[in-house]
Parts: sequence; structure tokens; C-alpha cells
Amino acid sequence: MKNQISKYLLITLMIIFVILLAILIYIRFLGSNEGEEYAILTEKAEGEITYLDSSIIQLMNNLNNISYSRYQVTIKEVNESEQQDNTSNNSESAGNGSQTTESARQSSSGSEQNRWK
Amino acid sequence: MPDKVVVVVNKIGGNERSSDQSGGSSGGNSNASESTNQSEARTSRLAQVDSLLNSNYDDIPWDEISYGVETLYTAWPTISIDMKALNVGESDISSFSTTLDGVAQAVKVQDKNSALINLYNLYTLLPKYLSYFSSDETKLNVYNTKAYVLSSYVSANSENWGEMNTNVTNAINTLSKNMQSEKLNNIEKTALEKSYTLLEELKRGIGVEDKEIFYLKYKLAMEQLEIL
Repeated sequence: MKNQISKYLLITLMIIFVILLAILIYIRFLGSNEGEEYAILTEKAEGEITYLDSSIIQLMNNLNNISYSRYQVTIKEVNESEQQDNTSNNSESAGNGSQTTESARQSSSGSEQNRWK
Repeated sequence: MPDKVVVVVNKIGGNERSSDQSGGSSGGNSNASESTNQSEARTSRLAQVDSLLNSNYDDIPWDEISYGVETLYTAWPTISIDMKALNVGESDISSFSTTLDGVAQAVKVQDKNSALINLYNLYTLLPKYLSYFSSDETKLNVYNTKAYVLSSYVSANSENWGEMNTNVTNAINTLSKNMQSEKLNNIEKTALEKSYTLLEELKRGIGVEDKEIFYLKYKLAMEQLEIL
């Protein structure tokens, strides 16, 4: 009888221990998940602050025409007539042989420069 | 327009490629290259950006600035939600919106000085936000250094040389705190030393009391600080 009671007590204690262990693991898991989420959010916020930092500085620089870039690229549409001029110049020079290649080159470059004046 | 122009003509479809160079009267050091793609019917041109020493400071690209401000308006709601989640103070979050409105109003009426002041006020909120959730003192010092440099940049508009000098001195002192950090690797140390030297140069430049020289040195210092 005494033996049976101690057996039941042992089983009950074991069950309680397992339940407590499960609860402990669950709490730990939940805590680490929250910590991970917080770390991700912090990283994201730091990125957002970096974005605001560069945007605000760029806006302030623009107010004095200050740019970190050394070169700028501008793209311009070419008129059809200008294209035709270039084409005719090129075809003429091609017909005159190797001696006129230089003039074709000069006229092409000349017309290109005129466009930018 | 640059004095010296290098023109490159590319004819796509054909097999022709030619180049020429024409010198200007003064033979300046600025170069430009130009290419024509006839099949796409457009011309592209690569040119050096104007020197700050000869720049036109009154020719402000307001359209570009307006677009930049609008982009900030678009990004802010998402950022403010994240800041709230990280327990950033409600008053600090709302003051960003208020100051951004001030920037927009200044840009709208094309008031350069007011736009500069409001943008600077906007910037000072960033290290404040960071201090709520980051314990990285090095990063915080870099933001505070930049804030001091920007403050001197704002003062440059009214040529307040005394205030500019104080702000750059504060920037140097703030950045020097990072110099003592033992966490830095060799690359970070070199970048930090370069920033420190450029800030000292900036301070020396203030002594000359020349706005263009200040802007030139400011650009170099700020470009380096953004790498940190």
C-alpha cells in the first residue's frame, strides 16, 4: 500500500516536472522570438534613418548646387532633319574614298557641337 | 559650357566610329563626351560637374528639391510606424511631420534660408530617434558630428563665421570621441582619420572667410562623413 502511494507520488511529480519544463521551453522560445523581431525592427529602423540622413543632406546640398558626383549625363532627343544631315554627310564622304573620311568626321563632330551651343 | 569638348559619334547598325577634339579659347580642364545613337534617335552627353568655386549658387533646382520633399512625405508614414514600435517619443515623431511641413512651405515659396533651417531641424531629429533604440555610441557620434557640420553649412548662408567656427569645433570634438574607440578595424580607423583631417581643413577654411572655399571643403568633409 505504502509502495503504491509512493509510486503514484513519483508519477505525479514527474508529470508536474514535464509540464513545468514544457512551459519553461515555451517561454524561452517566445522570448527569443520577440528578441529576434526586435533586432530585425531595429535594423530596419537604422536603415530608414540612413535613408532620411542621405535624403535630407542631398536636399540641403541641392540648395547650393552641391553634388558629390563628378560627372553628369544629359540625354537629348535628336531631330530627324539633323539625323538626315548627318546621314547625307556620311554617305558623301563614303563615296569620295579614304581622303574624305576626315571631312566627314569633322562635319559630323561640327554638327554635334552646334547642337550643344 | 565646357571650353574643351570631346565628341564621339557612334553609328549603331553601321560600322563607323569616329572621334574628334576641339579646343576652346582657354583650353580649360573640363571634358565632355557625346555619343549619337541613330537607331534610338537621341544624344547622350557626359560632362564634368561645374566647379564649386565658379558655381552659380542662385540657380537652385527647386523642381528637383520639391520632388525630394514629396519623396520624404511618401516614406515618412512607414518610418513613423516603425519608430512608434521602437518606443520613440510621440512628440519627437510628430515634430518630424511639423518640420517637414515647414520645409514644404519654404520650398513652395522658394525661400532658401527657411528651407535650409527647416531641413537642418529635420536632421537633428535623426540622432534623437537613434538614441531611443541603439546603444551604438560610435554611430550616434557620427550623426551628431554631421548635425554640427550641417549647422555650420546653414550659417554659411548668412556668412555667420563665428557660429560656423563654433559648430565645426563641436563637430571635431564629437568625432574625436570615436577616435578613442577600440572596436574599430584598420579600414574604419583610416576613414575616421580622413574625416577628422577634412573637418580640421574645414575649420581652417572658415578662417579664410570665403563662402566658396567653405562649400568646397564642406562637400569633401560631408562626402567622407557619409562613408562612416
